[in-house]
Amino acid sequence: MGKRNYFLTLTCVILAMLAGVAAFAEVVTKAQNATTRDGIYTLAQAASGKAVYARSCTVCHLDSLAGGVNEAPALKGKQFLSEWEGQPLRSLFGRIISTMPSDDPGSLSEQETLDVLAYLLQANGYRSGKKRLGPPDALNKIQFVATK
Amino acid sequence: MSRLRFAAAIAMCLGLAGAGGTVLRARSGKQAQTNPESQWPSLAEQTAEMGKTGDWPYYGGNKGFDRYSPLDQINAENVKNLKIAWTRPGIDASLTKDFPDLNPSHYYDATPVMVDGVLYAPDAIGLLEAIDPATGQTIWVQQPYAPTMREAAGRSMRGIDTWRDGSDLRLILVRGNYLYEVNAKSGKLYLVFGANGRVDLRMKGPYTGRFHDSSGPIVVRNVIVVGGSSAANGAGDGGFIKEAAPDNVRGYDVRTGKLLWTFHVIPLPGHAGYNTWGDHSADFSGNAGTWNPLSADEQLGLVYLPLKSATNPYYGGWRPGDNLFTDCVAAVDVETGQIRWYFQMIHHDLWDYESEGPPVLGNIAVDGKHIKALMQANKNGFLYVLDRTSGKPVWPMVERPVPASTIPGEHASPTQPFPTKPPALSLLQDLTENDLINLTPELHKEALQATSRYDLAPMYTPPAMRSDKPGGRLAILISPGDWGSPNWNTGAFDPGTDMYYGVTMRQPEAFGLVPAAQCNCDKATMAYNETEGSGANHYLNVPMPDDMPYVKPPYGHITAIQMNQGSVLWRAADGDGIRNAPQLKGLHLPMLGVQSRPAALVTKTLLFLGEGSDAIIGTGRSPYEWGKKFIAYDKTTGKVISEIELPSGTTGGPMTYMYKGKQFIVVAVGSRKDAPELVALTLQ
Repeated sequence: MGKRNYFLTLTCVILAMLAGVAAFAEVVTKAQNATTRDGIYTLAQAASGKAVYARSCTVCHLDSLAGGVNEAPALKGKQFLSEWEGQPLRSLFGRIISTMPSDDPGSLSEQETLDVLAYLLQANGYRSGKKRLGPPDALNKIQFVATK
Repeated sequence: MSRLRFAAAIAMCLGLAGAGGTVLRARSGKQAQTNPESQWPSLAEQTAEMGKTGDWPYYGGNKGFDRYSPLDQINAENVKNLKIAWTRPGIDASLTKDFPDLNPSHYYDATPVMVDGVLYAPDAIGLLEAIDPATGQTIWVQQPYAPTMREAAGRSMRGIDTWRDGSDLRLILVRGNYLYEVNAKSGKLYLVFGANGRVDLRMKGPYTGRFHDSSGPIVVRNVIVVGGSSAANGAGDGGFIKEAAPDNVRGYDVRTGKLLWTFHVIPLPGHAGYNTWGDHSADFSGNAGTWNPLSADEQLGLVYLPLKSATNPYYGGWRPGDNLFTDCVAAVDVETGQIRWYFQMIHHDLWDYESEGPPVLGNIAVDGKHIKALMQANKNGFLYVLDRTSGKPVWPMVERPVPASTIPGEHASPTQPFPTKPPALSLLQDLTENDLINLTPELHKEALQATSRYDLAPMYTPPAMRSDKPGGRLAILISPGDWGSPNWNTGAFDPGTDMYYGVTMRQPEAFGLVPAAQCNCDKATMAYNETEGSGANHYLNVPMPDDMPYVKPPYGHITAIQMNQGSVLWRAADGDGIRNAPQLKGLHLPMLGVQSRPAALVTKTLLFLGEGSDAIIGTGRSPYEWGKKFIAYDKTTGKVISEIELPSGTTGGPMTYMYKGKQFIVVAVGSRKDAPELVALTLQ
């Protein structure tokens, strides 16, 4: 390889690397900026989640999500939102899949848990979007922020 | 006199029941001969052994659940030097590595045990850990029964018990549907116990579902006693369905896991107490079991059960009568499962006023007479003191008239038993407008506004119909509410001084019923129930700005009772509470107490109590209603001697042990924001 070609190649590699870094940075920035306000679930998914909720959660958390039966906390409102504020949505996913329903923890599938999560977001006033929530790993990059 | 009361009176005349502490005839006298009392250690001997070994063998201390240790290295002079020795996370890193989605509830309510120089504790998902007492390092972690999320997922349990046969030390725990025995040295299951190492606790029959418990088993002699519930409706305090499975209590052989007996918490046809359920409602009624910690007197061969209310207790038109054994403390023969005696604190419960806290056992002397006593608190804020050999009250219980119900078809009891001694733990049992918060004129005005559509009423006023008309009454408002004045956290007894320490909070409750037609549910078999199907939503019913309380302080306090006299020696607020809230800035108030559920530890020298946590459901919603302080009180005056700040608020009961010459105190902590962990304190 001649010197000219070498420098050309090197330049291309550096430019490509820079472009790659920029693209990666954009992806990361976008990922880090994803929040619960960004329309991260679909209406259909929330509807599925509502059905799972009715089957597995209502007995303690009530249709109103106010909780209070069998020591269940509210899943709606200020205290609920402040508890999860600033955390990755994966944490709430983990809480649900590893502790709920309280008499049969671990019995919800990943998909059921994602759907319930979509329903909870909807019930707390977060807007829906065009893309379904999931898979679980994607929730690492979505930050839980309070509704506007 | 109603038909049922007449029947009950006849039964008493026939000797089925005695006055006051009602006594059933023992159905078997065999155990006394086959198991001489001297074979089993007395409570005093258990405590003395704890002093010699430095152990804490049951999560309540001794089997009497007195939360007492005779250790005295940490004392009033040096307690100011208490420092954090170690902390460890609620779940060991090895488990979160295998199951990264494990994110347990921050309500980590476990209390460890200490036996033979090793600390054992349920973790935040209910698996056992063996821990180095000096460093907090992991010795072993119980592995999930299978490597799946289904088996790994779970909740923390309040505690475990231990049993030994020579050098064979077994750790006995309930987790999910199952009863397990774990080898203390290896952390492995005994595969000969039950079926492949575990006993399935799910009950069979109508309305049953998965098994659930929160407190854990007790081993009495060679029998494991398990409370909990297998009712499909959970704890049975919500919904409009009256049919449920009873939470029967069971005894299992400690060596094999074989079921030995079942105590039916709702009597079967033909058994004493069945007729206290009118219209044959005992045939389909349920819940009524025990979820609080259990205690036992091994010498007497009795296990003591703090029993709860019937299903959806706020309306009882379908269950006329006193409804035995709801809201009883009952003594059951551990060899046979037969009931020896019971005492019912609430007849025909309409408030979910169930037994709260363990039946605390202690020996007291009253008027020169030595009494083997049992001290049982109830959500209503009373402490019922009984002779634990017979169930007879130590001081008279008086049946007093209480308000009648205004709900169609209800059968509220015309009287309830009132202890003449000791004075109530709760200082607020008859709520009036004078009890509304007045720390500032603004708060008082807000409280008047918030409660304007409620009838403030005396305790035992039955729930009233909700009116949604403009200006209509939404509910009656009474104190204590149905989270209790005391809860599982109350109760500690010092056998050296005969002092009982009650821990209570102040939290009234709105009781408003709606017809089933308004329940918004597919099927209802009850005519009425609470608005939300639960009485537990008082803050939704009576909202105050910034979640401030609407009644006067104290919001939580300790009551020290001289059990020899049945009198209160002192009362003291149990933490800062809202005194640091911005609404009270500049007022320089004393400690106002926490509207939370801290549990006490008593040692030979001091009384310890944390400030609870906002991770504990059913407690105050203001961010100031809990705190991170762990406080040492003077046992004889209630004065604060010293305090240390913990990483978070206390969620479990504290315990203490001695290891290599050093006394440690360990307590579980956590909050809505702070992850659960165990914290160990020692002198530096």
